[in-house]
Amino acid sequence: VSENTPDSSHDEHSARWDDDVAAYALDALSAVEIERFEAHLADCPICTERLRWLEPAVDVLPATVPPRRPPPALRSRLMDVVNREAEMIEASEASDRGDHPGVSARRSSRLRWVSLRPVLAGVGVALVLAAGVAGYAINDSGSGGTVDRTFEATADQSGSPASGMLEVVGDAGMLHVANLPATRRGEVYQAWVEDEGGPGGGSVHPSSVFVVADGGVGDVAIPHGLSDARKVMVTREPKGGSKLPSENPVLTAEIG
Amino acid sequence: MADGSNATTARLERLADEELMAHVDRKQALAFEVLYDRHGGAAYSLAYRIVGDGGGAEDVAQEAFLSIWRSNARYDRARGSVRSWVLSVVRNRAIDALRRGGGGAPKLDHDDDGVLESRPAEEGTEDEAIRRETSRELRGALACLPADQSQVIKLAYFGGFSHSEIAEMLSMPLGTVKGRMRLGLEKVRVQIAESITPDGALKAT
Repeated sequence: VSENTPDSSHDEHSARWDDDVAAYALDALSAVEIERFEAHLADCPICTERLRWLEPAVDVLPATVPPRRPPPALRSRLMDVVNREAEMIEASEASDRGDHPGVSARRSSRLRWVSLRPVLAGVGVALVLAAGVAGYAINDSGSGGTVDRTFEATADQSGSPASGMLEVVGDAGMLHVANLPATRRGEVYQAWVEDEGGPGGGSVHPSSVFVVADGGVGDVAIPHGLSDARKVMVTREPKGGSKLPSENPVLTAEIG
Repeated sequence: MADGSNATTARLERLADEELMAHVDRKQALAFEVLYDRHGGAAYSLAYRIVGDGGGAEDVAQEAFLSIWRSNARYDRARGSVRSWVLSVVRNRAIDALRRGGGGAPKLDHDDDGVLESRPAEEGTEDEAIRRETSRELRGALACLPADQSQVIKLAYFGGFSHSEIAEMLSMPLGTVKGRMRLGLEKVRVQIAESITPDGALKAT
């Protein structure tokens, strides 16, 4: 990469795009401008090269900030969540490998969740099976890796092929989704937990944000709030997630 | 068991960031811990700079690292270093937090130099010392820009304002703001090419 400003053929290249490259690198364009610039960028080697050259100037901006030491409690909180989720994932994988006797005998009883089988491979099947045996332990160490209940998640919009399954382990859970449409740039999916609440209805709490891979497949951990939840929903939200849902759910798992 | 995880941690600590990420993607909690220890300080510092208070910065850093852990944010090697990527995730979260909390009015400029001077130098690792030094040099690079250029860059990057919002705020034509952003970034780019590698480390001499 040249360390000098790439300026070849610039005579023919509008100066306007040069300014847009910088504003784009700084994330200072509006959504409409981003769309227009990206359409141009796709066909413009000059802007592509220029953006690549300029990006390190943006990347160093965080290093201009005065260093501060994060509070140790932040690390502890993070590692608590991460360790718990790692355990859950390990438990799911152990179940998937069929580490426990007695699974195969039950294999035919709960295969109604057929639409997810091709994309989620054996995982969904094994976990639905686990649900068929109430409280079936999928982790002998007893460290919280027991899938207590599973619930089917269904599309809220007619004609949508979206589907999913929620596994609940105590107060936490994992939601496996499939066939969700790809999100637009600057958008993510977000999970929400609606609690049982009082007679006036439950309240909705934000949970994790996630994106989906090819086939609209994704796994999202719900770290807490499920022990008294009524439903888990998924909505499309701006990148970073929201405090309240910005649109109607695309997928809902009713609990109970 | 403790010895086992200590040995694993020691092995992970020797990995380059990009290799470490492969272990994080496989949901290895110890790898994530090493990732946090490497970049948590920079992440928290950036979040603090953007949201302007410790509690908010903690929330932002926590959300950002959890989204990395849960693979909601995906590392793309082509886009640059792991550190730059982690910090871009933090920056996006911090700006979102500002917009959610501040009714669309992100905080303006904090006095970085004041903060630094009022804070006694801490004992730390050699890495930290280098980063501290790098941070000073880079702030110098930003400070060396004409004020009108550094101002629009800071408002966009740390304030989350779009160029049109900045133009309105400063009563300037739209094109002027974008032009200043370009001139300023070009100067920073040329300066870092001379002394500092893109991930913020000093070039080996």
